[in-house]
Amino acid sequence: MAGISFRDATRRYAGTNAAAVSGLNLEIHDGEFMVLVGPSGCGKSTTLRMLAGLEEVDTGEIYIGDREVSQLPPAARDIAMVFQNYALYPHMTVGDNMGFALRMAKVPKSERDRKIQEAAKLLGLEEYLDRKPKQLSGGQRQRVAMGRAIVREPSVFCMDEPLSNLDAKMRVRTRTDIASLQRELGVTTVYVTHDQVEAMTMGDRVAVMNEGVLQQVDTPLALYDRPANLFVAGFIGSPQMNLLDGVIDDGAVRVGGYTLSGTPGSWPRNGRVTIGVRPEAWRIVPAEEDGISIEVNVVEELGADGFAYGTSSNEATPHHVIVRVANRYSVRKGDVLRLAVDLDKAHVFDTETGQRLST
Amino acid sequence: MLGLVVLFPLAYSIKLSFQSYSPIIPNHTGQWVGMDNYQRILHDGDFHHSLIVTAIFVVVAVSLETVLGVVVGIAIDRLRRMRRFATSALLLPMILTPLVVGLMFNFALNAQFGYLTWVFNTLHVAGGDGVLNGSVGALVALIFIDVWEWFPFVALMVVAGLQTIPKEPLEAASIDGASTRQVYWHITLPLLRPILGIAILFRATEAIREFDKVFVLTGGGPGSATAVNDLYQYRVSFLNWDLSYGAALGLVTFAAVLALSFLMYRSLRRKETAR
Amino acid sequence: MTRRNRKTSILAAVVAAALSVTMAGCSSGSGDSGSSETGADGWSRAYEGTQLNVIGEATANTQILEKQLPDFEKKTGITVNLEQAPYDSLVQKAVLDFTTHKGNYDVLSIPYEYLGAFAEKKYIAPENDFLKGDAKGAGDDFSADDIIPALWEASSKWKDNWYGMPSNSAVMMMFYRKDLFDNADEKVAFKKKYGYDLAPAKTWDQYRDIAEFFNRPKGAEAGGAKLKDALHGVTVAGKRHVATVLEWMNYSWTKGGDLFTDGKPAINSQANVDALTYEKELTKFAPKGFTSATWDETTADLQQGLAAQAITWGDTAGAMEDKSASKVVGKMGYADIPVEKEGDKPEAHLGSWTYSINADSKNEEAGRLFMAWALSTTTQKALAEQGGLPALTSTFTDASLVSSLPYWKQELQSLKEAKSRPRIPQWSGISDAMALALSRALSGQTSPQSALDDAQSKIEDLMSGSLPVTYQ
Repeated sequence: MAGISFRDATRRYAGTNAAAVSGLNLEIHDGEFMVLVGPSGCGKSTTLRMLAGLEEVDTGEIYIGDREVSQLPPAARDIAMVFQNYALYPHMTVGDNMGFALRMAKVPKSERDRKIQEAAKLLGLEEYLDRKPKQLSGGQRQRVAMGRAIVREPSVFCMDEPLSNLDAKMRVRTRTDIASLQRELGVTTVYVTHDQVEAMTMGDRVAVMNEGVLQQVDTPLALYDRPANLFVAGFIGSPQMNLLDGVIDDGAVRVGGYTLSGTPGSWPRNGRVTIGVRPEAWRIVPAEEDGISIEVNVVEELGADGFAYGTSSNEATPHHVIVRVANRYSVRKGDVLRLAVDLDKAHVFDTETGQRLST
Repeated sequence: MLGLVVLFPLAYSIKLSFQSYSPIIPNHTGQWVGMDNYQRILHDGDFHHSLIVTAIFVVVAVSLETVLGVVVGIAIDRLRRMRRFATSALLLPMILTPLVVGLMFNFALNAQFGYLTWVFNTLHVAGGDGVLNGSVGALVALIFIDVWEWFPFVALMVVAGLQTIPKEPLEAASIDGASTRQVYWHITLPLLRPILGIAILFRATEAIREFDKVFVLTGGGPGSATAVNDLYQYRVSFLNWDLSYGAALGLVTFAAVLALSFLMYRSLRRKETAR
Repeated sequence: MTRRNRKTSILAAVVAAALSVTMAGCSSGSGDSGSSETGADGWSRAYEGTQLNVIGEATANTQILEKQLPDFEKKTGITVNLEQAPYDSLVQKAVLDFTTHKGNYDVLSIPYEYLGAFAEKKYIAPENDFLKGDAKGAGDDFSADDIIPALWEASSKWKDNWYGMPSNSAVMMMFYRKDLFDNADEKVAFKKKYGYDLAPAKTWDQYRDIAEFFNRPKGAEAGGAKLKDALHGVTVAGKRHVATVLEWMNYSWTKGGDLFTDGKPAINSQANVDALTYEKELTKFAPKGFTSATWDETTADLQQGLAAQAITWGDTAGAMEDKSASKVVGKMGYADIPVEKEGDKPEAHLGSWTYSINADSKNEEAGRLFMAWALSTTTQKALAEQGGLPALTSTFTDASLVSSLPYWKQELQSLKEAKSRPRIPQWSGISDAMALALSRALSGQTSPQSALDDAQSKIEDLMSGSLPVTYQ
């Protein structure tokens, strides 16, 4: 068990201009489940591999507990890793796979077997111990990969998109399994994913990365409610937040012809802004009220929720405006809806810097 | 078409082996003698001796080639800049015809002025008379030459095999606490086993039929220290002109090699499915 | 057909016709038998235009013969396609041609140990009329009486038939470094050590003493000069090869042994064991590579001045006197092979090849002319002058040759003492078994007795059904 600290960690590949990971500063608490999330190429996997010792740290430092580990080989860092493709040893049985690290550490056989049995029980793998990976399903192999990590009782778990290769149903189930397992074992875990739903549901805290730079790190709901910049705002939340071109004109916030009402925040009196509105933040108002009219193109009925996608003649709106509609079949294609939003429910960003202006 | 080219000589050999035919030896006019030739094989001390010599040659040479090939293959795999140069250099011994190799080493091992003679003498493997003139030295020299010629084959197969091994289990192994050497020993080598099996099968079936180098360098001598199987059959068929006995010998060798290949192939498949 | 096409096809037909006429003229069908023109020198031109295929051993004699071919073409109008091959390869090609009955080779120079085999299987054709009769068509410079009788009989006569004429012959003799033997200091030192005068060895004991005496390391003195390379007392052929067998037979014969006694194999007789033991003794003074040496290596050793004595082939004498390559020009002496006891009759191993006519050849008459030409005085003298070995008495007694070639007298002498090995069909098997036994004993793998015992049982097996040997 240990906390992790990245201090100005940078990884730069030879022959490229931009760094894969640029000056990362991140603190992870002991026992925390930290999710690294972001689009492809954002540097999350590289960060994880730097922590594990599979990537060089060009500048900066990484601490596990109070040990600086950036120059140590993987074997010396007391880390266990679960790979996206499981990376099981194809020629060994499940039991041998799980016991390999203990064998390397010269743990005596009896103790090795005991630990393997424990982990197997925890993961429901007892009857598979003598099988080879080839004979297992994807979900079972994933559990073996987890078992291999658990058996070591390391300081840190690293997980690199472990659910990506599973089908949707398995993914949901395994997600909760991993989360509850981690809570039970209490080992500091760094978890990489590109799926923001996993991030939101599994992490104690989530670190959003883009193009090698850390955008924001906070609890899932904090990220949802108060995204620090346009990138995070657009990344977190599904369906995506609506982003509207806005302008502050003498203190008044306008989107096209629609002036938003409500309590203003502390922003300059004039300037170009981007207004973010979550689908559920819209109010559907009668046509006479001030707002934005959309013509509905598509309605997605998800059972518990519904989302209407429409286009507006207001030139400040994006191609699709998304609004949550509560009742089944309340809205149909072709309907015209009038939408309004209060200022304190909207997110205002400086268009140029992308930074959040609302409080 | 292929069947015709293979089957006809095979059928003719089989027929010949049950006869007694020679273009030179009198009374051998092709008469039917049944199993006589095969019975003669059972009592033929020279043939048994040549089997032993061949067995020693094959086992030692192929083992050394395998070990050296693995070591070199792994070393090349770790290279970055010199890699292409190294793999090209490795091809050289293999592409020389065995006859040329034999002549090269004939020169190099000459008792008076061969440059390799000094090396062998320092290793105390040769007798005082020059490498090819001592029974042990001659066989050692032939094995050495075969290893020199063929370890690149194994090395190149290893390099190819290493490409197909997924990288992630190797990373997992180092995270699991294995040193570089341990990763090679516990993970890489076991995963290379199928490729190595094929390489060994190839080399063994070739080495059993070794002829060119021995013919050029020692002619089977000194004495009969390097009389490998193929050489013995050549002697019987084309120096003594006892063609039917030679046919019988050839068929027995063919059957043995076939059986050996089959066994090796089977054990390879078994290891595959058990994985 | 268009006009152009038709013209082309007529032209093609004409050309084809013309070609086939000329081809027919050149094809190797035999012409009529010798009734047409004869050249000025007596050589028949009846087979003008024939193409003869001849194959011979790749040695000095054949190479020299090749240079003489234009003379034959000039005399007879027959063109010769001469192929040369080393011993093993030649025998294989011959057997292949014989068994397929294609008649690819018209004239073959075959080693005489295969004479019996080929004659019995009727692969080669007896030529009694031509050879012992009128030699019809041969020119003025050919005379059958001139061919050395013993040589002719050994190489070409089998049972009651004559099959050809001697092509290569080589007889073994003792080579020694005359310059070292003549050196005054060496003479004194030798007398002091062994108690008798230094002279070319006449007995085997002397041969051994001299070998010991002259066996010296690099840097030591010999003949008044410092040695740049080690000097060896002898050089010996010890490879598992027929060369070793042929050399050993000299030791065997002179010590009273032989391969067959009373028609039965006597391989492991006491005399033979003694001979092999003696030869093994000698190898102490031989260069280190002797277990892979054949006649080529022993020749090179002598030529490069690395050995003081050898029992080797007379036809390598030319190499000794070759100014362009030899380090011992004018330094070699040639003498009879030593005997066991002073006064014994010397014997020398004769190796002979014979020209023979393929029984399936379509150019038999042209082939005969070739043989006669090869044995004509003109050709044989040219052969002798260029370092080869002839088969005519007149060439051996030719004054100019005797004075210009230091080894000439000895060659004739040795030929007179010549003895042949068995020319029976089983020779190749016997030679093989002997080569194995000798090389094993000489390399120290087994004792001479057990090596020869093995060979004895093998050869007995080989000869079963063909004993006793009544003609060889």
